[in-house]
Amino acid sequence: MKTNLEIVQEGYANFLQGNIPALMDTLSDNIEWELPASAHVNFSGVFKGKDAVMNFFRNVDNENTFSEFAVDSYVANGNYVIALGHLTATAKSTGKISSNKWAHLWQLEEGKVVKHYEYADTAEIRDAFSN
Amino acid sequence: MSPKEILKAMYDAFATGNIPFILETISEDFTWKDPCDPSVVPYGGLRQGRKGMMNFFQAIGNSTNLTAWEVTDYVSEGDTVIAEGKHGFQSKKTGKGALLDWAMVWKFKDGVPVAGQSYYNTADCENAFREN
Repeated sequence: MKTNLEIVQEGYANFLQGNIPALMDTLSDNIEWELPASAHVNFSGVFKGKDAVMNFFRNVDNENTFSEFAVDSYVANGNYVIALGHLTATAKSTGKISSNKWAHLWQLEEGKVVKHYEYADTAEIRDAFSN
Repeated sequence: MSPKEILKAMYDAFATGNIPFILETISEDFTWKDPCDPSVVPYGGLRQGRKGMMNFFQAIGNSTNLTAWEVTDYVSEGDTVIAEGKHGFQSKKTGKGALLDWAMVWKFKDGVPVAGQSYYNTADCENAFREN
């Protein structure tokens, strides 16, 4: 049986390969996914259930071109895995490039992700998507 | 004490306004990174050393009234402890408030905190300090 850390690590590996269906398989049907809401950012807000999270990934893909996305470290304990990382992306709607250091909280129950919360520099995201 | 226990003691001290305890606990060359733009949020940006942290706490106290404070979880592994919680405040300048979920990542060396970094909704935070 995989550890929670391994499940999350495989999720990032799948994301980086563009294999979103494999990442979706690690989520609970009751998944609650959140990147705090920003105006003009369609991949922000609270996404409940797998269909909503799939829309999140579609919007991420439709609205961004990533030039860098990396996990720098993981901290895992009990039901929680926290990934710390950074990214650089171009907002397709404005052409603006922004960098972001982030912390992603993953909460798992019985081997499935029930909660994902993104602590991100939302001011950077807002500015990138504002004209 | 474990890093997690040390950190709990520091947050307990913060909740009671015992800033000297925090300054005595961190290393002399401690560094702190707040993700907000210091030109908008008075306590944003990078701080170094105990004096830098003293200025950080003074900047928070001078610019905000605390309306909510809670540490909800600690996740630790080795020399890293991550605390999560909520921070509510009102900007003294604008009167606007914010309630933010935060994660703070603390690095320890030989049982002493040497670096910290916070992650939270910077857009909402900066809005509270902007006039319009």
